[in-house]
Amino acid sequence: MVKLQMRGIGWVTPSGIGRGRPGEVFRLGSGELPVLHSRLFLEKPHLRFGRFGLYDRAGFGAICLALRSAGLERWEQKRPIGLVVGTRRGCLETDVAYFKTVALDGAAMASPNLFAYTLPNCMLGEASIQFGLTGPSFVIDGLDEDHLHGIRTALDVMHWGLCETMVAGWCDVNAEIVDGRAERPCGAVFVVMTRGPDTSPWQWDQGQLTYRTEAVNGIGQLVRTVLENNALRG
Amino acid sequence: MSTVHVVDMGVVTALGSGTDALWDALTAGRTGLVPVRRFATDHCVFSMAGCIPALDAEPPGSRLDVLVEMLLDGARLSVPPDTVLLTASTKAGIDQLERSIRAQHTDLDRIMGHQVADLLAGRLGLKGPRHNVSAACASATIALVLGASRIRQGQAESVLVCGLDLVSEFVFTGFASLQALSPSICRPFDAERDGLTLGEGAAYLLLMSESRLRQTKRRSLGRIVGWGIASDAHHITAPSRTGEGLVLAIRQALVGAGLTPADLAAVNAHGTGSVYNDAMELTAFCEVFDRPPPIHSIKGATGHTMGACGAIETIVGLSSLAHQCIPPTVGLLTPEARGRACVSAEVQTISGQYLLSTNSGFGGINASVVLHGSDAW
Repeated sequence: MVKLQMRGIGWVTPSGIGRGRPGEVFRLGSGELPVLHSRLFLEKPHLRFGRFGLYDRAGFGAICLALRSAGLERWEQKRPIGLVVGTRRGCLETDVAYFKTVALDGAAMASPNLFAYTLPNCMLGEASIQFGLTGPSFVIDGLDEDHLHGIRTALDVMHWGLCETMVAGWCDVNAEIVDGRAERPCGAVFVVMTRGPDTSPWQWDQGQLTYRTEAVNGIGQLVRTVLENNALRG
Repeated sequence: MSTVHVVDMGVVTALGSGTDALWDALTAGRTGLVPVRRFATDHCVFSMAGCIPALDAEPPGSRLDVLVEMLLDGARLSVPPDTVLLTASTKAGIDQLERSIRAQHTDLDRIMGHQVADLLAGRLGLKGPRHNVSAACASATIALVLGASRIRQGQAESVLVCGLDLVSEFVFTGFASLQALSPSICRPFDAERDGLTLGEGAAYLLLMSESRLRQTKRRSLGRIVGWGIASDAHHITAPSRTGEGLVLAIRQALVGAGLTPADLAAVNAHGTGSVYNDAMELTAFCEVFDRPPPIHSIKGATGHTMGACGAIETIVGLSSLAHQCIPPTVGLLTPEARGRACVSAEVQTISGQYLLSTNSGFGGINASVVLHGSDAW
């Protein structure tokens, strides 16, 4: 059993972006994500943001917002903070864009800038570089309808003692090659979690995340619980 | 805290199918690197890879299905129904996406990571939790860490970890575009190394707790006794020159195992043959060890099997402990100065029961496991 603090939250959804400030609205849904540029998330422009696919932009952006919400945006020395994302489609839309440069333009025109982002963990790598995070970092591919598989795995990593602070969440963007015109939830939601005191209302026990005694069974419920209870930092 | 046993394992690479075939080929110094035949490579400076010949013919679905059948064929793998399944793959059945973009009709049922886990679960009749771990070339090692942690903490009695990746035009052209491929055959830890050579393969390791091992009357082929994962936070495609992430991952593994560096008999390194990766690894090993133990890489024999390499190399590590020797580093001609005392183009005898296996990947990720040998071989 692990008692937790939820230290920060950030999201990018078709309804907009947010990090738990008054007036921000969180709504999970399908549709187009807002136009994303690095100045929405960082004080200074990010040099490689323009190369990012939509998956990287949404995920990296939500991580930036979550770390800012947690007061962990600024750093001088690298920190043992981990990153886990749960996804279904990962960077599939970048895969398609990359291979079109091979198939349609000739293999000699393959784009190295796109290829680097055809690994879904490179989005996490960009966040680790931006914020000096040296903890475990990986992607969990799964079909879990609650979009919590990344967060559950990160909670296990904390429980196992591999890392004390984790930035974890979900990121999925539409990929026409598999989705067609289907309307699926898209966006990114990340939370910053640390071990908390025994009095903390957040708890991870036997594969179940709870706030007080209420089970958290979906990413939308998690965000709403944080916002409605002003529950950051437990 | 439960002990983590490896009770079954299987492998298929360009060197053949089965753990014995792999070990025999590696210790004989053979290489499975061959000219790529399944797609045109005339735009690239080099056309070799560790291809499995049986995968050259284009199947109706993905080559991944054929690879899985090869892995399981004759393996007599018996998996308890409550087994947690963790697959590790970087690009899954990416050959389907290639065909789809070229407007050839194809199913798209293997192009996402979770579909790899679905494929294995369906083939083995597993109904329990399953996910795919994606962390570039450290994917399988991280899947092993997650599986071993579940068992050590009593959250699972049985975990199947399976790493698998294909040589595809997608990946080949990508590494070529990054100018990361060797124009000759890769030469890990060589002073004149000039890039990596890709490979493909699949491997599984069935992990069990001590109690499940006894219940099922299986024999332990070895134990996973320590592990670590750490990020460089440096660059997404270039390793940290200081090797700080790998040093962290190794030290975490040693602490978890209750060992000191001097307890390690050998290291199975990532050893891709790229200038910067191998330099980073030697820097890290020199930081961790007063005098590095024998070190080797199998990439010159199998090619770089990407998401699968951590699983394949863990099998090689357990074989090394059982035979008390490590295979030659195929491709090595003149060791880099810092590796002269520890890498060799010949079989090296080792003495001890613990071996370190490490992998690093794009995104700046590093992972390591410490293995303990078994007398049951």
